[in-house]
Amino acid sequence: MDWSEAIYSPSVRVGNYRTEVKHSLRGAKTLVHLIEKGAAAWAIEVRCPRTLMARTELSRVSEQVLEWDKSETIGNVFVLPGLMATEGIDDISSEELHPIWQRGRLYVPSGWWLVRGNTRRVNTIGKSLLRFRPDPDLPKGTMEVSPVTGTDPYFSVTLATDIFRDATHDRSLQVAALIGACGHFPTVFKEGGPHFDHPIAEELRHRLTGASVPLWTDDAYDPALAATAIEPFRPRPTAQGGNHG
Amino acid sequence: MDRNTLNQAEKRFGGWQQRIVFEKKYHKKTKGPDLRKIKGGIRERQKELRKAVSEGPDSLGAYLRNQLGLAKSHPLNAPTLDRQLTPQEFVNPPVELEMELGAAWRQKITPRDAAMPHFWLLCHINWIEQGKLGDSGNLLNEALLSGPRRGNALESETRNFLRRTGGIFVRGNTSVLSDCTLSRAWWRHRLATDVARVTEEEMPQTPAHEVLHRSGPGWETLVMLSLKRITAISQPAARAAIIVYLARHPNLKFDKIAVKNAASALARLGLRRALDYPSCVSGTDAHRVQTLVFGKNGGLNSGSRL
Repeated sequence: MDWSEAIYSPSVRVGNYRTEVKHSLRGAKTLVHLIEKGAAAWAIEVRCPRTLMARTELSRVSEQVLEWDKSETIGNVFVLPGLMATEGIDDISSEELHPIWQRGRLYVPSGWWLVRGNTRRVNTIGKSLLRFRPDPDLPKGTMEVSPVTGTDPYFSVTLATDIFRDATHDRSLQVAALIGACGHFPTVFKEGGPHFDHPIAEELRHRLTGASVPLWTDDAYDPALAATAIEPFRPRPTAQGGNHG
Repeated sequence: MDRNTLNQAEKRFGGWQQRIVFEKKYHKKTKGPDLRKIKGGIRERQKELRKAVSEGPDSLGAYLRNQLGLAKSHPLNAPTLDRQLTPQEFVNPPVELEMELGAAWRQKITPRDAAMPHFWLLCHINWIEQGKLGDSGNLLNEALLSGPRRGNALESETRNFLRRTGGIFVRGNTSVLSDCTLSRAWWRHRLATDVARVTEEEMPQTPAHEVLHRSGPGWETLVMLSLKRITAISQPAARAAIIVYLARHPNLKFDKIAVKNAASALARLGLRRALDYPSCVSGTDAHRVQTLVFGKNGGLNSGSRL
């Protein structure tokens, strides 16, 4: 953005087929004024390359939710938050702008990004890797993890029906499934194999190397360590003020 | 088609494809007798496929169901093909046929399903069993195996088969949109519909589809760039701008380079403005995007600045 003192820090939360963005902008009174007078709006653009889907939605309020139908997307989905001019603006004050813009009249056309955040991937690497399914034949409380090596490799996690529903929100179950998946990395992403150069394998290598965790091609590879480096366990908050007896 | 069938097919689809073609880069480290053994196994499986094709629809349907672990009685419920296609129609569907199929299937197939190669393979199994792709081994052979050959005939035939029935894994996610002829018809119809919508019928669907149909390698580049990168070309208004421009300049080649240049110009423009913002998708603005990207006289603008 050209407002040298401004800081745009959107908070992006992603869920299944939806994203919530809290836009936060400081140090650019002009832009805030443009939103107030209706000449600019908060925007979220969502893109799914594999289904050629791209959509932009606008909001006058800084907390924005964008939802889409499951049938519209597959694979990676990307979200781009920002602020957009919703009409041609020719009265922008150049005071807050970078000195390069100090001279001359400014015109911002409708549809122009005034602020753009970084592109976020909706599917975390953990989510890209795992697909949960119920299996009524599995004994209570158990799960199985098996690789599916199509164009985009992933891991099919089948769970006993009593715990299947919890898989959407129970992080411990999700991490346990990811540990199971990591156990299959040496065969699914083996060197010289069809998925060694797959973008998912590349991202996994990047993540594990960044966390100084041995890769699946190393003798020291540990699936549990790899999985929890990708998606760490989070301690449950301790209850406050409860009865201790 | 129900989810369970799709999920079941997906589990076996990738493994089957990998076992039936020889892709050199996956066997770099294998040498000598081990490599000969792998090649021999693949060749046997390729012969098995060729035999199933030559025996006709029933045999081929059974062979494919077996590869995907689907029982003979498992219903597939693919979208309808009203009549039997000739091999020529199947290999190179004329634009009228593409539009007819696209319109008939538009509401029946979701973009998510249409992006899955195994979804299209299941459809093809259904159509093969119904005799819609040929009611004899000879016709199936012509429709599914014949075509470009490089080196080993068995390998080429197998690759032709995989490409035409849903896409081949070695070509990544592009294959289902560009190699599978009936899937391609659906995607072109969808994009042509988008063009008509974002240009507010300034460019109706039929001429838009005709441009996409005559595009040859340009189509593949267009979808490849949309699929592989998060560029402005993913946006319907951006693609519409390219297609409208090419329709207005029928003598221009819709080739790889033209599409790549347009994509770069659009990407630069997309950094500055949302090409799909409502005010940008009216007829006038779609035209404006074109002018910004291609210039008034038909050449690509190097700067593409507003």
